[in-house]
Amino acid sequence: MAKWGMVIDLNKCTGCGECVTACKVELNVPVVGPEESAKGRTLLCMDILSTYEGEFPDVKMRTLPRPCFHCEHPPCIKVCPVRATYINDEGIVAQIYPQCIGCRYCQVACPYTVKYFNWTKPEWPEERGAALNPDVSVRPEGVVEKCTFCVHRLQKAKEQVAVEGRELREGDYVPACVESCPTKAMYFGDLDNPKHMVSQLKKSHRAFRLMEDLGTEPKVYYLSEVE
Amino acid sequence: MEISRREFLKYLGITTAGVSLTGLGCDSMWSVPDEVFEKIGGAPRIETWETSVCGLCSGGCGIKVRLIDDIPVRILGNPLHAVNRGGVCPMAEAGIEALYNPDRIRQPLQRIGERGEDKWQEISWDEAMQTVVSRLQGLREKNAAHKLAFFTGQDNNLSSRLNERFMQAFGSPNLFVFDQSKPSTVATYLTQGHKSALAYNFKDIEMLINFGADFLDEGPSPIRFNQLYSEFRNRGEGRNVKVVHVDSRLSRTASNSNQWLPAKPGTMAALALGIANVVIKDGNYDKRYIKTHSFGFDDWRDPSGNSRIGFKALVEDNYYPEKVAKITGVPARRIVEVAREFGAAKSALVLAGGQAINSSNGVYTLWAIECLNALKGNYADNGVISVPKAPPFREPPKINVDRVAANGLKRPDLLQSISDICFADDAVAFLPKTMLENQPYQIQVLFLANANPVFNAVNQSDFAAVLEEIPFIVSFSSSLDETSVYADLVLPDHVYLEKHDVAYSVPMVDFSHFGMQQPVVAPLYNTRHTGDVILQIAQSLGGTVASSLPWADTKTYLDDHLRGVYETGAGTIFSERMDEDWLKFLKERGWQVFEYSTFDEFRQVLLDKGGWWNPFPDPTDFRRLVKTPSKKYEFYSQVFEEEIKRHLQTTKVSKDEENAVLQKWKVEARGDLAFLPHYEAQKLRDNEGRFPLQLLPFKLITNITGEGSNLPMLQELFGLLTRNYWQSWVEINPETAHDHKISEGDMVRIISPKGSLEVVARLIPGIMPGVVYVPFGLGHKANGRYAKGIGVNPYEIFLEEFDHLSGMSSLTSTKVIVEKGNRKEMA
Repeated sequence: MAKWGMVIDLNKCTGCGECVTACKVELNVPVVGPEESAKGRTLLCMDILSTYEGEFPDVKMRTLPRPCFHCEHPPCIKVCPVRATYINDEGIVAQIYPQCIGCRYCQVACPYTVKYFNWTKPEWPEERGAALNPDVSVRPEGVVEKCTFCVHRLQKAKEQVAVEGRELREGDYVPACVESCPTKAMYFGDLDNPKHMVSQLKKSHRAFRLMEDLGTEPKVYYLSEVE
Repeated sequence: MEISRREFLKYLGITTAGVSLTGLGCDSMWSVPDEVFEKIGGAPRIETWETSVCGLCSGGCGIKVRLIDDIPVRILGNPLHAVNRGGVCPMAEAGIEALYNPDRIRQPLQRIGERGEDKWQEISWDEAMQTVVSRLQGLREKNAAHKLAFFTGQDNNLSSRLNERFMQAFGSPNLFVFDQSKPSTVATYLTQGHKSALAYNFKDIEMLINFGADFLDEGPSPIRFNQLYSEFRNRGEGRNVKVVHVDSRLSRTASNSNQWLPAKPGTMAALALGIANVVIKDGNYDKRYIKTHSFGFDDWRDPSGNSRIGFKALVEDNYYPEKVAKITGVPARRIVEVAREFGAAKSALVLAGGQAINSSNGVYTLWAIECLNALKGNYADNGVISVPKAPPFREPPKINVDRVAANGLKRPDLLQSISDICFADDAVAFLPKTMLENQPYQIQVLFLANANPVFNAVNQSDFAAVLEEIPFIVSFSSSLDETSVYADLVLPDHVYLEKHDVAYSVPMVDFSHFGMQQPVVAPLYNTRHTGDVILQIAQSLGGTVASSLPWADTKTYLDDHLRGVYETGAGTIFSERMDEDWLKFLKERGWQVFEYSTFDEFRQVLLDKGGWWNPFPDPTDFRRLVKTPSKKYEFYSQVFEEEIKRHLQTTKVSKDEENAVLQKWKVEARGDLAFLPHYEAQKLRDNEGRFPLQLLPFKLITNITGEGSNLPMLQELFGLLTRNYWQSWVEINPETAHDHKISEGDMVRIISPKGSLEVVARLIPGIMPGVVYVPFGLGHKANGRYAKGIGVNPYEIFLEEFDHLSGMSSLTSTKVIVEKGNRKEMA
């Protein structure tokens, strides 16, 4: 079984925000509008965290793209009372929306704050009609959602290779953010497959994961900036 | 048996989702809202991809659009496009919302309320066209063709050439381009005597000093610069480019550089000359270039034998690091370090933008910065700077000018009569000055296409006043923006995803190229391509206007141009990334990458791949390009001297006359100094220190032009990095905030002599103390439900100060008070 993971090279990332937009469009993440946004209810399955280090004039701004880390030991699944979130055989922490009761325990449990609650009914202008991504279902009001590692793309890729009668290759399945990164700062693949770029990059001396001491074992690695 | 689509899908859904769900006792459908389900479910789902060009800014990025059953659902970058190489910015990605925007104009509109009241009635195209044509005929009958004016936006596409052609044939000199991202050419003209836009080759540079250009957020073509900056630090050990950024705000461009030099706003000229001082003192400049190709570097004698001061002496005497440190606030040690590195680099480049251009001393600032490039010999054949050629489009037939048109074209345009600016090329901000006084004549008909000065000009209220007075205004906008609401008639254009065009010569790109824009979807509404409308108007006007624009529609017009590219066989259609040397090898031996034997086949491949480029441009021969009196690069600008003579219409200018002209153009320096790059303090009206802080704007990649505000996704991601969605904010240094008793998240009021804004405060250490920054892009008073009434427009409270050499607005001349607001009062 593959173990899907991501590596983000911060030395290549410029913080442009394209991954965030690509994610919103790909996953049919609705726009919540100014009032809801002001309450902190903006849905960003992919986000960019930014911090400033130092004081004027010796300041550095750092940006860090943040998807769901698809932890090997995800704290979110342990608190879900209805098993609406679980980790599958390929290491993807998945959500079953119809099963979610909206208790938001997982949202609280996640140390990386990657979970979002759908406070409102998803809405698009009538004119938009069917112009959404048909591969991804729209989440209803009252459930928690997050980055899925674009698992729908894995489904499609598997169907495709089945038709072609071959094994899944590196690059057959990549999430939308990785695909659209203009600076090619993001890598995706099987962390257990030594041939995949990600499994080599994660051994880099620059590689780190967020809050490793928690023992969650995120499957998203960062490569630190080169000073 | 008849099964409804919904039932059928429901059945499908259960069986496929059943694998994971039915076992858990769930009906996979129960919680998905019906209307949403209806929207996304269904149909055979045939996926196709179309290439085109993004039309949301002048970056001209190649895109590929994903269509499901012929419905566009997502926009990605075209990996074959030579400029953006597969990348797009958030704005391009949100383009899908531009297509389906509920506030798009769907039918020609006629004003029924008062000007600007935003009350309309729908009319038919025939009726609308008749009205326009009869107005235009009226002008020509009265021999007053020059009284038609045209305000357009971005102009690096072929349909803009069509507008220019129409104006020529019609007989009006009054076409003005409102493009904020257009690089200023005044400094180049002063030193080199030509106005060609310069392009840059980053391939072999070791160091880059960027004076204020926020390329990563503002562009031109921001995504190209994001890729470049990323590449700069990933070339590999020892080959990385050292980037130094000069600005008073730690923008994303600054934070992606190796070093940030925060210089006080408006003092960049001093910093550039300070660097020049060290470079010259160290003797670390291209001595061969300076000796043979430049004029005015050393002291010189004029024909009457007077000794004149040279650039070297000027810089050595006045811009030593300690003095520059006092002016700019950058420590002398840092200036020397950067200058030493710059001098030592084998190949180094200097670029400028942002506040370096948009300040009241902008031309002298740019000029001083350009001199650093001259010191490095970059205006020679080292290939770092070039002037790319336009693609080899076939020249359209000559424009026929009849008596009426000839009369109109003889008239001065609206900007020529302004005598208090030197170069009127970029001086569109001065239009209200002449237009409000009906000088030199009153404009009777105004065409508007992609120009929105009532929103994005500093003197927006003057523009609004101008529009009130014009008897007849036609807008070709596809949404009712601040400027278009003043129109009498709106002839809505397609959205860029619905139309043909050719976008070429993206600013700063050093090879010639063009991208093919094509309809990826049939027009959703009863709109028309503005190019087609212009052609139709020309046909209805008849005579020489019609014969000068003989094309049936824009597509044939574009094809006519493309034939030139086909026939010359130059360059190549975008192809899968190939080694450039290999491509060159093939080309030299007469191979072409793609197979085509007719123009139609060529055109089809062009459309499939997205465009064309010439990866091996001829090197620019600056010796031929430079058109100064000395035929050399001029540190001492004789071009400027000539300009004063031309302005006074004499061949001999006395000192007093010269001083009077300099006074008029608000140049403080007198004598030789005025003709050399130097630092002049910018004009700040601060009313006896009552306004302690300086206000500056900045732009964000999520809304580069300000017109992205009617796309909800961009509004929701507007302040992505500071978490300010759907709102404006002010960035203040924590120290300054403390002095003014402001804390993070407070509502504050920013007061300038012109007005006030209420925004939330963000305390950011990457802002220079004493300066506050408000993002540009929000604060629309029109432009649809998503834009209107969200955030504030900082330009509303900017003082109307200009650089009187270039006529550009100064964005660094406004001082403000920032005070803590009362929460209740604010609400």
